[in-house]
Amino acid sequence: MRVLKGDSVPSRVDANVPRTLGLGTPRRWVGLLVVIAGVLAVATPASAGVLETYCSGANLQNGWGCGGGSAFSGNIHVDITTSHTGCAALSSFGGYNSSPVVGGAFGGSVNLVNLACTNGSGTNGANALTTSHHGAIYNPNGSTWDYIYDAHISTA
Amino acid sequence: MSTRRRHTTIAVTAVGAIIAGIMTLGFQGHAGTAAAAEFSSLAAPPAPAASSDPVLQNLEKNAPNINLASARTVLSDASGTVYLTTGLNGDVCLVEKVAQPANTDPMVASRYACKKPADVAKEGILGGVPGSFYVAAPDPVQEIVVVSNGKTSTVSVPHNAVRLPPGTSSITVGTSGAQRLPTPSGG
Repeated sequence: MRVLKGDSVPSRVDANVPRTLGLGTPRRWVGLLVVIAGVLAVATPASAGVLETYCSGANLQNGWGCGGGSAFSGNIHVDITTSHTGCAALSSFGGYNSSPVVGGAFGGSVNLVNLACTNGSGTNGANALTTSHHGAIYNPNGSTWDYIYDAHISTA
Repeated sequence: MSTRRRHTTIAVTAVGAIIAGIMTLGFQGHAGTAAAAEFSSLAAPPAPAASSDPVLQNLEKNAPNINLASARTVLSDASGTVYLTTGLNGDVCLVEKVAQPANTDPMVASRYACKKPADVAKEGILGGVPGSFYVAAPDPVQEIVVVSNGKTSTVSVPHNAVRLPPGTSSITVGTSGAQRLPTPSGG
């Protein structure tokens, strides 16, 4: 390790670690940062295989559906997390990423297939095999809006 | 120990304790409220078929909250096999392996539904889809009120779960209010 003129040599020197890490962070914080990063890596599940996150972070009117923009085929998995009763679904309708609320029952001309439902707030989803469908959500309530926390379609 | 080193040690210890606390909450979830939803069926031996079934293993891979190791069989009929389990974050979950999936597009192999235990304690947990719903009701609920095709009746809930009659539009679990069930969408 090269000692710069004017620097004092610490009692323990690690040639592979700089004496400081910017912002004046002392070397002994490196180990803590590594530990924190490792803990966060373990605590945060990987989102590998996600094909599309759709209709998330939005309100969905009662009786309406929301379809993702892209169609997928093969073995897929759909998850939704909602504030009220909702159904993870697939639809033949798509391309409305800019406007999640696309019309009551998709205007009557779109095939919507419910994959899984539950009552009240919660998470539900399913594995399915499809030739071509968009990830979707259906809010079946007659009077209650859903807030869609998350909805995504991934490879199964 | 110098003052600076002492302060650093205290700060590191505090941060570590905070992280440990966050991790505990994250993995144990609502440990305090999990007891709010009790299911006698969970006292039965776990169903090894669930955790060793490749179809359900694939579902568990995609829905990491599901913990098949604690799954107990609560329903088994021509429509499928339903398991009650606790999620990794303390949620109550219903997991279904769909039997004889219809030869349509898409073909559903498995599904799940999870809810917070405090919510399940109040209103039970519904799973399935229109035409094939099932509900799990926590102890001490022995029967639920069902409205099917305009007629009101009571349905017993053995082993904490029951598949609802076709045409069911509303259920009442325990002391919760009547819950309207998802109806088939148009299209």
